[in-house]
Amino acid sequence: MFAVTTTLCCLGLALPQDPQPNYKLPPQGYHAPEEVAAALEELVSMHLSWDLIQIGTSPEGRPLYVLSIPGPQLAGNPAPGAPAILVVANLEGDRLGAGEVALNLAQNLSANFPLLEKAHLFLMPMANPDAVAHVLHGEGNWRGAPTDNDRDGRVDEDGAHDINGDGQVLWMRVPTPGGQWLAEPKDSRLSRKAKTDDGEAGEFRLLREGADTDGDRLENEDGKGGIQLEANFPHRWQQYDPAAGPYQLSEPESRALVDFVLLHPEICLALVLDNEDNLTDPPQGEDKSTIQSTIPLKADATLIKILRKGWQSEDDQEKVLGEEHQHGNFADWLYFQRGILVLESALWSPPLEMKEEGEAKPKEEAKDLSKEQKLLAWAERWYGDKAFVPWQDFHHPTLGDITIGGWKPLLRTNPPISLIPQLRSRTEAILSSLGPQLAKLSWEKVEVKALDGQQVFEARATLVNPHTMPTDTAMAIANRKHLPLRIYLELPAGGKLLVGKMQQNLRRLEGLGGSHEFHWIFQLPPNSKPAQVRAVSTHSGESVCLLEVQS
Amino acid sequence: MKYFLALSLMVTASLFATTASAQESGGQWQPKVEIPWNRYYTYEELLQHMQRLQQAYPNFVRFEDIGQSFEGRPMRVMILGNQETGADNEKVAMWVDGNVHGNEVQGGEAAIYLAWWLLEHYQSNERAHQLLDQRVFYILPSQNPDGRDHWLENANTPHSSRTGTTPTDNDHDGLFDEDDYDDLDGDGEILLMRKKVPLGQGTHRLDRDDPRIMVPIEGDQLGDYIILGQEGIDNDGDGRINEDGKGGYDMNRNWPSDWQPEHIQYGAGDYPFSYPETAAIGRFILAHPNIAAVQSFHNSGGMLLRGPGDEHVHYPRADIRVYDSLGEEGEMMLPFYRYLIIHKDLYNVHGGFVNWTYEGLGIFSFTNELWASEQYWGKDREHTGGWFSSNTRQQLEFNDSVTLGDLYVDWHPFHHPLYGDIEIGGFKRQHGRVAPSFMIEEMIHRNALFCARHAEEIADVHLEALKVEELGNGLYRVTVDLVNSKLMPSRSAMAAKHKIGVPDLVSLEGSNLQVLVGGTLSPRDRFHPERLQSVVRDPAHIRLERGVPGHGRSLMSWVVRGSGSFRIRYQAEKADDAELEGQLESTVPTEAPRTEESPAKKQSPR
Repeated sequence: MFAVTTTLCCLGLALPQDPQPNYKLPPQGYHAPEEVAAALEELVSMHLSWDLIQIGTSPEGRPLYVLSIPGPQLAGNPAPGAPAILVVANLEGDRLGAGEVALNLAQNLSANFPLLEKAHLFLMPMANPDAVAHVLHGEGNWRGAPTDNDRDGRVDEDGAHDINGDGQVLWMRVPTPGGQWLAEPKDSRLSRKAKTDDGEAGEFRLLREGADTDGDRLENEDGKGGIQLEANFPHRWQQYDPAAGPYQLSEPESRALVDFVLLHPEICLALVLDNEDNLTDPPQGEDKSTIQSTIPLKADATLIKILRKGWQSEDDQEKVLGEEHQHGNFADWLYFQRGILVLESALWSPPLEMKEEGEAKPKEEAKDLSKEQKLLAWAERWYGDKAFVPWQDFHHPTLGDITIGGWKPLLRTNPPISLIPQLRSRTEAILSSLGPQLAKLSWEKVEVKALDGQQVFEARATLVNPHTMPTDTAMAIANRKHLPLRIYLELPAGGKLLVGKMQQNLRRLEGLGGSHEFHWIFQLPPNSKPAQVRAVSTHSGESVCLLEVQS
Repeated sequence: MKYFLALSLMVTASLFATTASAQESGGQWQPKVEIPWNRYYTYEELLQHMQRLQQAYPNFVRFEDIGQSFEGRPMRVMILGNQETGADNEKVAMWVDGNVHGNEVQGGEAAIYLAWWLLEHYQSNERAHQLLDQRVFYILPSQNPDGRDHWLENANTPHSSRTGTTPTDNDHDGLFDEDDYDDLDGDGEILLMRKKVPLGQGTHRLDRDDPRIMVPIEGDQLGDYIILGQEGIDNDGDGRINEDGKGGYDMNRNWPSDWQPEHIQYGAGDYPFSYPETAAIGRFILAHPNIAAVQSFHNSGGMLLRGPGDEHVHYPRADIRVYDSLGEEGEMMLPFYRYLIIHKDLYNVHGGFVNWTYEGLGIFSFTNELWASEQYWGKDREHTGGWFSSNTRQQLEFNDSVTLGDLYVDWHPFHHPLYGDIEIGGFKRQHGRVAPSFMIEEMIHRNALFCARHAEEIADVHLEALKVEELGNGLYRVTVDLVNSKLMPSRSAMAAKHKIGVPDLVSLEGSNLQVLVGGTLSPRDRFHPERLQSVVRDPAHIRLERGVPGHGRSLMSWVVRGSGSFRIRYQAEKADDAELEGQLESTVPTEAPRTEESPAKKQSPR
């Protein structure tokens, strides 16, 4: 199993560095929500055992689909206690690559995908379809009912929009004495903040393309849409932030997702493909969690470090950079309030190291370049002149003479569509590597003695978890969301327990050999069947062991 | 609120000339609807009383079913107010509920009593008349009808059935509600279990004077009794008793403000509004921004509680003054009750209901904890032993003499499957947290009328001292005062601070004029009272984030060009709208004092 994992991993890492003139600029080639929904519907018609669960409907009427792919079976039924893994993508509408990877994963999943021998898979390629639809229409990353962001009694009346009629919403440089920005001296296309500490003065304001539509002397302060999905979950929800919603889970998408997770306690691990990332630079962990925590407990951070080996190897060339931890996001709710381990990946970010293929070190001239310069150099190599629109003079109705141009949207956070299969196989690799690391219950060191030579028996047995994952995370224990791990002694008819308990609960078993010894003394009628012990857990299946006298 | 006060005041005044004091004089008061206020009613009975009030006062009472409890009981809000003086959502409102904790039943009676008393005094009492004409009460007698009925109808302790009845796995064993209390002796009560043990093995001994009382041993005393908790057996065989009963959560921890998950806050639920009852109430309250006051009745302890529920939440000073004023009046109205702050004087609460309505929605909100143990004897706590009647001897005296033993079950033997020979006995659930039957009416009257006082102090804003001053060249300065005659501001400082809801709006409009400048004046600026805080955009519409202060005034001023008539309108979420018309012709000499009444003032029809 390990070998397979490594191979897949290497395949996934060969991301091209050299110029690729054929790259399409995102979102070209990306699927609209309707196409994703149709693709999922087609998948379940092809795979009879798969199921498509509509967990809800978005405000604009789009279905919220979770693909349910069955894990280990016993006689056609789900194996008792089989764990589930949840993959969620596109919580943010502008992270289109994540949704594409998740869809591509489903489309290429073979029936003998190794993970499915161990776990059930829930796959949600598009958690926020309304925002995706708007992003694809060039309208920005918005969703939800119109809101009055500037509290002037009108809704959505002053958002960024195309003002020079070129069909896109870019950036405006508005010459303003004391404006915070100036043109990068080495490349005047780029903008950077003036270093006032070094005596530099700013020259312009840098604004999204738009105008003061409502005449309140502010630009773009009340744009389209309302509540941000990734701010609407309960952990660190911000009560007075209009983007966070009137209350936790006020939005149909967030509520549906949370209710789905609550309905499926067998979900023991989640992979969230979005704008945050804990695989590239895994967190160090904290000793104690608080209601404001964003860093996992140490024991769980260690787990993330171990599990990410299936994702990135030592010779990996590019670091995927995630974004800052956001208040009220889904992944934090999963971990900090439900104790479910979450792997987060931003999947891709622009390769900025400027290495030629085969070279170990970046080019010499790259050393002094700012991040923006590196980005522009990369964008030109990949997309030619399509990525950046030169600044053009424009007479703005309220702002006077300005220039409009700059970065096209989406390309800095989404790969060209042709890279999706490679990113998918990388995601596939980590999912495959997870299977053998999920918690497993195993009875070891079983000793049974007949105390009187025939009817009274003393039994000892140790329940062991030889795999990486514990039966519940440290966080699940800390926030009391751990699930029952029950041990039943099963005596044949006429049997009588003398010492020990017929049933007991264990809080959890640690990973990597975590164990617990049990002890019973019982009496059995002559010539009866042997006693047995059964361990049952929601996250790690069932394990039964006969308590027979060793001969 | 689109309701205009002055008109209804005129109607009110004329009615009083003919009907005042017809009902309540010389002890001859005859309520139209007789409700015996000397017992606690099942939820169905409460609904029947509401129905009877509706039949007797059809123009004042209507109902809205806002949802269903987990067991399917209707969550029925009584909408109380004179329908002929305006629709409910066009008036400012007070929300009153009770009984979110199923065992805290008397809030239900108190809530309905408020409706009953106001209705029965509409004709005879001027202020009841005004409240029903000008205000609306949204009354939900029980936030938790399932818990209420379970407590009233089945065996319980004074403290059990606090929860709703959605099954919950409290002991993490994968089973739901499988180990509740058990009424072992079948007497309809859940009492205490005690067991006599060999001397030296006990934690308690029996009181020498009254063997019903268990005395904890101290020092080197020897005990011969142990207390085994409340009646029950180990139903699920896990070695523990009564550890996973019916429900097992606290709906008063299920609201959005400062909500925290279960490991921080017991009973919080999976997320805010996760229960059908709280979700229904949340939807209704969010859809009614006209709610300007909240009362949520609980028991017990004799308290008028306000937030915050945790020390990290801060309430603005201006609002605290409003709370203090109402709280002090409440302490006067409610003997033995104290006005307290939840986190400071009681305990931490995350996600409490009144925390949400104030911190999240900016509504002045109280939780009254009905019934103080001092009231058993009408003496202060030095004589009665304080909270939850910790002085057992005095409670037993009350039971023995004032109720002839009605509240207590004497210890009697029972054979327990696990503990062997034990005794069962103790106070019934009707003792401790709810008033005894003969004291119910006083308890609920004082609390209901505290709500009436709270509602009376909702902001009431008038336009006064309209002045039009000619500036020459067709320019006029128009000034008007917004005067709030009540204690509460039209927007709480909390709402202003966090930009909750919509700011109040004052607009000046006319068909033949142009508004050039608009803004507010600062009467408190002793040196430059003429300085205008002008509106950046659209000077015809002045937005008041802080509203109009309680017992205060805000001064508006415009410079307009034009002629003819104009109209000034005041619109607010939590105060009635007001309107005034005037003419663009000079009404005052340039040096006239500002207090002079304007002859142009005219109250517009609704």
